Amino acid sequence: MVFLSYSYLFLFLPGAVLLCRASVTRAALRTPALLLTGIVYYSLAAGLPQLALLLAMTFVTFKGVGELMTSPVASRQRLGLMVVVADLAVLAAFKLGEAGILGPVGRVLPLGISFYTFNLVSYGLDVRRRQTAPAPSFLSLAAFSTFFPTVAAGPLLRYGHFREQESGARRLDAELLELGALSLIVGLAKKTLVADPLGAAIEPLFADYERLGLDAWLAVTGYAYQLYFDFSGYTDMAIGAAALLGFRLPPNFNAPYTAVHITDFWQRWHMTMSQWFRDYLFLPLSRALLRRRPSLDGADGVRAVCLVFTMVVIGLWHGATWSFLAWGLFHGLLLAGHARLRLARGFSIPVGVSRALTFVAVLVGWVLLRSPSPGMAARIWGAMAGLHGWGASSLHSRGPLLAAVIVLLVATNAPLERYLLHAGRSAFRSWALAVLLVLALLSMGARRPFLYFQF
Amino acid sequence: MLNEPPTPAARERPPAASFLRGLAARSLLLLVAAISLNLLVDPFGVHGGRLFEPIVLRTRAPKLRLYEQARPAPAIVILGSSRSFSMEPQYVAARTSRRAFNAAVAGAGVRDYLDFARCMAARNSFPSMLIVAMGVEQATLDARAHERDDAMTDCLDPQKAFWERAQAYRGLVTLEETWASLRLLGLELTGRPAPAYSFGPDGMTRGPGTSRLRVEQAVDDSLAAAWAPSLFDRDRLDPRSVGQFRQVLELCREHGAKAIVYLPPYHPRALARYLKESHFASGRARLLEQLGSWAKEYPLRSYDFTEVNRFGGRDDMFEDASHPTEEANRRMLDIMLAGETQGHGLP
Amino acid sequence: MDAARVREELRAFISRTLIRDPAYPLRDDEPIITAGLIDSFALAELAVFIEREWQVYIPDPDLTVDRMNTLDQIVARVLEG
Repeated sequence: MVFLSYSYLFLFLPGAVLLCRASVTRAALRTPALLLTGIVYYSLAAGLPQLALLLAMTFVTFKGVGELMTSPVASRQRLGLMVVVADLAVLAAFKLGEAGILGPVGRVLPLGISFYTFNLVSYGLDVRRRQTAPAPSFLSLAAFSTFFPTVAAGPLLRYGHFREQESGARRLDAELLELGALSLIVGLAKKTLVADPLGAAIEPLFADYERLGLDAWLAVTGYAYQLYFDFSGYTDMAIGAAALLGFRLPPNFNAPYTAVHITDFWQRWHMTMSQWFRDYLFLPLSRALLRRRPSLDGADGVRAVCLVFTMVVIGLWHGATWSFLAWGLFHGLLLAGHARLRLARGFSIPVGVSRALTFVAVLVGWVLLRSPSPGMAARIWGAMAGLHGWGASSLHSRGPLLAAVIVLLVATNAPLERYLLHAGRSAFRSWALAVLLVLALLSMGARRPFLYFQF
Repeated sequence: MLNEPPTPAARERPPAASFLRGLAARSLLLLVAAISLNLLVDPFGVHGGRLFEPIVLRTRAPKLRLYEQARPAPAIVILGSSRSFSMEPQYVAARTSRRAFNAAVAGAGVRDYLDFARCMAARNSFPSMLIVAMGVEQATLDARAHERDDAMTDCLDPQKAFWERAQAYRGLVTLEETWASLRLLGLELTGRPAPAYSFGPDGMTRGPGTSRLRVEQAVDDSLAAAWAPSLFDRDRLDPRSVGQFRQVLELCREHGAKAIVYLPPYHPRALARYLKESHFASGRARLLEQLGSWAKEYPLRSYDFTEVNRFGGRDDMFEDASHPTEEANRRMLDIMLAGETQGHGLP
Repeated sequence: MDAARVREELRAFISRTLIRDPAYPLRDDEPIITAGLIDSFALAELAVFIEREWQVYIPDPDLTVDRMNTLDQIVARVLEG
């Protein structure tokens, strides 16, 4: 079952909301009801064997952390580390398996394993740091790890924040209901009306990449928007579903393509992931390395090492392939470079120029994710640099795509999303949302290939 | 006091609940409007409305209907895709003195050939000869266009037809049908142009053709879209297509019919790209090998016309990368029917 | 701990080492993170400085915009111990 299906939107989600609303006033039923929705969703979406793995990892984490809390201080550190390593080892095994590095082992990546593993790891680390109380029961931790709005692709959650809401009254006031409904509509529209058609339009350009010239910019920009609308659309639907259940989730995107520099970009793109790595890898690593230095002056090298290392790990978290590794390294070097420039006194460039350069840098990085081979990436970069002329595409054939990309460039730089989600409750906005919703629902309808039109 | 206007605080924006109710009502209204529009306009001709002539190109149902109406039943039937639309049944009849019918349908796959052959068998009107176009892409991919209400199911499995018709109502909530309804409505208001294709009683399909000045652009456009080299990414024959065509040949043998299979041509520029950038050459070789093997078991002969010089064709005998002109088809027919001029006379 | 001394030492460290401008007129209520004057790494540097100077350990979860954005907030946190 996927978010973009009639069965999810009209059967499962309403059923889950009704079940959770009915049980929220009874403390004893609240957590089991929520867990049930997570189990049903995950087993329909991924199957029972993968559900068993998720629950097993949750159980091991729950038990390990429980032991940690009753252990003497000296062994807490070791136990905490063992729990984290156990979770990460499972994730690493599947990532390496998916990349074919472990032979036939683990070729299929379990649904959401990158996300729920990190949720469990953050739980273990937060409890060890005394930042969060341990889960009162396995059911509570399992309700967290199987939380269906976010289990497949985030946003990443922190157990403490989740528990606060899960154990509370979770009143579904009209404002939260509004947030839920509108986020679902906007997310659905982003995926069906923008991301999917855009993906279909740019596919032939990438399939025929060896004939790309300067029209590679069109393909790569289209890909950048496809990625953003696909991922942020999913996130909006997750936030919407969670709101209907009475949960407020943290935002995951904040107009990333309006970033004024690369550091700003990473504060706007996949924010819960950036924050996760900042809190659990970057800061601890930075402190550890700084403590080894006799003086804190001139620690630029340490900064660069920490930034590059963290970004490489972020790349590998996405996938254990050369392209993710290269992409992480690319962004790590950009961040380190930007930090160095920022600290150089007297260096400044106009905001508009900086914003454009940042967007171009991000586009260059996305080429790595879109290219299954280094050769393809190099060919596309060469085309973007003008080494292969204008390209084989004619304006006649690419005109609609160019128009769409220009519209999206304007739309993502204007506060359109904010208007749709948070502006005043005018009749115009209501109609706009109604049109988006109906168009999105119609786009989900049955499609047959190769229907020819007579005119 | 009762008549005082509301204070600014009371005139605040509407509460969330009433905003949501308004949104739900508007959405429902729009959805009902879209469904009603699709039911009334019925752009694909599947809901039985018939207020307007459907917008979609349907070739299977019209061809089957024309075949069933042809009296006496044709002795020679041409099966193919749009690449065989301009293969003239009258030219075949003149060469062989036997009545012919062009049963080529848009976006045909081997499955369509089997369905049509089964329909002919079910109607007890199997011809004595089939001329079948087998493109490399048809043999290596199990893909074909779908047409709603294509009448094949009525012919092959009448019990299933009702359920399939019911399924067609799912189209009422699709963007594709809604857009088609709006386009059709717009065309009805502004004046519909002539249909792109028209069918003669012998199945001959006439289209707008491509102006000679635009052919090179048409070749480029089709190479960039449906006829890109990636169409020939596979170098093995698709087992389903092979199995389906074997069933066609079984039907031929059962009914004492001959089969002439030909590989239709591609524009030389397109062919050069396919040979260089895809597995076209090996796909073609495997197809010819399979046809050669079948020729030992079934009443079949085959011709490879993928290159224009094999039938004395020229570069200007194409509408685009893959659709040959009438003249090209005539030259191919001259070769294929060279031994068939001693006919049995028109029945 | 002398609050005034803590404040001035922190001001000097932030201006000299983190902002790289010893003459920068850092105000007590100036938002140094949200204004982009320092980044996350600089927060780590700040935490290690505080550890060394006053033996006060500030855990990673406290190194956030909410708690360490202004000199006032940082001083208050150090004085908490």
